[in-house]
Amino acid sequence: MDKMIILIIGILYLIVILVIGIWSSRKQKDMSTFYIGGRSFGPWLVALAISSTTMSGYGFVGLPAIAYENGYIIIMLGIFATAGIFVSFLVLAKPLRKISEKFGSLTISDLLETRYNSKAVRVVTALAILGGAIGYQMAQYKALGNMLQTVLGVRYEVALFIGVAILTVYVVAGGMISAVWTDFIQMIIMVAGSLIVFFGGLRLVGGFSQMNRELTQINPDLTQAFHTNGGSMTIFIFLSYFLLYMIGQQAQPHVVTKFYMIRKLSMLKWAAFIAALTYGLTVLLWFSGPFTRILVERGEMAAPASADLVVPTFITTYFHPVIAGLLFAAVMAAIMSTSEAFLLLASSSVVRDIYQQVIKKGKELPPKKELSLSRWVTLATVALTFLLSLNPPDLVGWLGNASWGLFVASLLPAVSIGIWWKRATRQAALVSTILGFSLSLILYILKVKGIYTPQLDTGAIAFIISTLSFVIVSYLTKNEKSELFSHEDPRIQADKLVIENKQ
Amino acid sequence: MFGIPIFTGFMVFIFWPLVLVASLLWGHFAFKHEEENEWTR
Repeated sequence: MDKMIILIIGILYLIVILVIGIWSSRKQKDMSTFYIGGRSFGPWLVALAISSTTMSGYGFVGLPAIAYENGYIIIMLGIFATAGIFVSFLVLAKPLRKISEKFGSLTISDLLETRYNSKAVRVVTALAILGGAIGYQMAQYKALGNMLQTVLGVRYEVALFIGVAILTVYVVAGGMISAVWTDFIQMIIMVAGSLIVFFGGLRLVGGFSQMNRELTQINPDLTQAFHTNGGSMTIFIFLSYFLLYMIGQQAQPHVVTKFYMIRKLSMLKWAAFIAALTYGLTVLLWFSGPFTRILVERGEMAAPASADLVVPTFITTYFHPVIAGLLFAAVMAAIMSTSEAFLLLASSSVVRDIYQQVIKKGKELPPKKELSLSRWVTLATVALTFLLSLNPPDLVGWLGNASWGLFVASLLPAVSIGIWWKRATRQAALVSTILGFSLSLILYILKVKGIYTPQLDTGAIAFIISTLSFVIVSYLTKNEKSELFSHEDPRIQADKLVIENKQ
Repeated sequence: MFGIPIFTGFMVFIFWPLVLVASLLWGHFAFKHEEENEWTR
């Protein structure tokens, strides 16, 4: 009966989301509305789209699982990621919005082609984005499968199929307008769900201080910001998380393209705060890991069969079915909002950056053809990722972390440094992207296979090396003028004139 | 306090809220120019 109620609420929620998807797809006219919603959104919509896309199934299912095993170090990751949202606004929001308006960029690869005046940079970054998107999507699908498996009581494979089918219908139907509108509603549900889990969980374990005392008794490392008593998450992992999540947030292509969408620049004034605040509130859900750990140690709850089942088991065990249904919807929301962004990202990489540039040699496609091709590519990506997710190599949390690191290592130097640093060259962008992508992939595979486990996170090592290579190659190669810096801000030009006249 | 080590407490109770305050202040100062331009347009 309980599971029935959870299911009914979950289904109602999905219907609401589908209706919004279909309603908004009627507004969709061309590629600009499909990818960036025609630059027409206000601060609340953009901010909540950014925070809900950042908080994914990897965050809602994967990270509580790692917090269950490792404690507060994962909350540190959440704190760095909250700060990372602010840092990405600081570094990218203004320039990206301006560049998008001036040069008509719709994707990160569009932007990079303009910056480096190079089709090769565009294609290489698009391939890196596609590779990262498939890895990240696998983490989302596994989280989706684990969640539905618990609620429906069916096999993982069946649960995965049902979840993926629902998800695909409304992403393919709606594109980005529906994604932004549903993101908005989903983030509200996610924040509410996180607060319910956090305060409900605190009551269960007997308060914040009691939770910390018991965690310390189980293992003192669980309350440390990084492990100092023999645990595996040492200060090197803490520093890696600082690099990957606080600095690296700005290299997440599914998040930063949202900067393109805002209606007026001044609206970004509130967006940074709203995005960081709502994201920070959803991080509170990660405490369900430590809560579960304590309840299991006390013998009040059976240990979940897999760490990835921590959140679904905790929710279905301790909350009233109606609340559990809403919480279930919140987790689904986290998974769906990120998945849809990734599907759009993958299709834009293939259609706009690879097919149009390499096969069609840069010839513009008719808008209708581009739109239908994007939908077919989305379907193909779904099918491929579904097959890969049937037997995933790792826990959701580690899969997500690796893909996040892959984006940081391959994109951050070319995007963030390249936008601000005039000396950066196209050769440097190519080298750093290729190096960052391949290193993060190889190091992660070596780690999963148990061949080599470095002290720093694999993504962080790849990021440091790709950044160094970007700077070194930039100095070694010839600098070329970029369109991006050809027109200075009129205010600066006016100031220069005044100074010249005075002289 | 609250049974957690000092550094963990610093991160949770000081650093985390400071990030939010910083994002609020930045938003208000960084876009003053744009706002004035949009009003006079």
